[in-house]
Amino acid sequence: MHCRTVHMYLVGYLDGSIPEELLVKIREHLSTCPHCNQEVTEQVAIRDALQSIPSLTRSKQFWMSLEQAVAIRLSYKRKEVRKSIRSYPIFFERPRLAFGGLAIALLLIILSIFWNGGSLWEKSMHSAKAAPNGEEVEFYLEEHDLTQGGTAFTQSAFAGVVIGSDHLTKSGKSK
Amino acid sequence: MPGFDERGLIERMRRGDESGFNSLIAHYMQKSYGLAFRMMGNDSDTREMIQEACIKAYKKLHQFDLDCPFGPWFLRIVVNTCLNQLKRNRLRIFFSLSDPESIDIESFEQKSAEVANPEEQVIANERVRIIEKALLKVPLKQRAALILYDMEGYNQKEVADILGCPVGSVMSRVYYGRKRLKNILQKYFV
Repeated sequence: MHCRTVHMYLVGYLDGSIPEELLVKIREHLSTCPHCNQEVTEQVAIRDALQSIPSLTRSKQFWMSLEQAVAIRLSYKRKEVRKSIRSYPIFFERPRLAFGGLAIALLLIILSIFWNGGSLWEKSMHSAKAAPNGEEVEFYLEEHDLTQGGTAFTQSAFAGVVIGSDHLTKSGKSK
Repeated sequence: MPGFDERGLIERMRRGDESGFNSLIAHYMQKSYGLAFRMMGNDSDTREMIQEACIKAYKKLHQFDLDCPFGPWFLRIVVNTCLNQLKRNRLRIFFSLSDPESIDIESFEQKSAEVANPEEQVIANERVRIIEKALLKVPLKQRAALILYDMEGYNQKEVADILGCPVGSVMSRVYYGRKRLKNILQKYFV
């Protein structure tokens, strides 16, 4: 086994978290390598030094004041935070549900179009042509119906005059 | 802690009852404070980091996976908050405390010699102080791994969960962190 490999697993070797097979190989290597033995000694010394540091102690009042400070800061932020949480689109919170709902809605729209004979947007055109002074004049009326399930829910119409090749007027009305 | 139903508290919070959040945080306060203190090196910044981490946890609670324990998730927020702050301010070392290199070992030895009875205690305290200061010189990621693994006693898997990295990276960070710490401490103890 190479020294570099031993160093890689040294932390696991010291806490016994590596597989037995690897443990045996590292032991074999350590029995012949003074450099790696030195590494082990240093690692153990530092580990023991860190473990000897007592855990942090603070007074009861300290913890109480900290909890209070956190509670106060949270209460200030709560309103703002709540608003930001609510404004999260459902796509972030439950993407599967959101995409499922979207797919069902699209399916319903497509079905309704086919059920309605495939036509959602109907357009009809009425026009009349005349040439009183030798120049051709065309009057036209364009009607649009947007229907769903056989019922028109928006209607619009446009009327216009074309003299020669120029559109002179165009007016619209929607319902 | 037996009887502490953190899952129930979180579920209640998600339903709109937010009163439990403070007790949930209070439960992890000492653990998270100890960790943040070792990272930051002083009380005022640690307090600030803890408050910020609590607000982040509150904001992200709806993303928390209820099948996982709350502790590592919260500690991860604490560690990341500290790391971000330290990176932002380039605070690699200390605040109110002095640089480890400037620790006056001679005056300490002289001072401890003057104390007749509690000499060993004084030496032990000073030793801890030197190690804590030296730890603040270790690079951030290695420092976080050392604090969690060697000082707080988490296992490799738990440290990996908290730091959000593979177990192999934890082993490597601990190994190189110890080496770095040894080099820093060598100046004082050799």
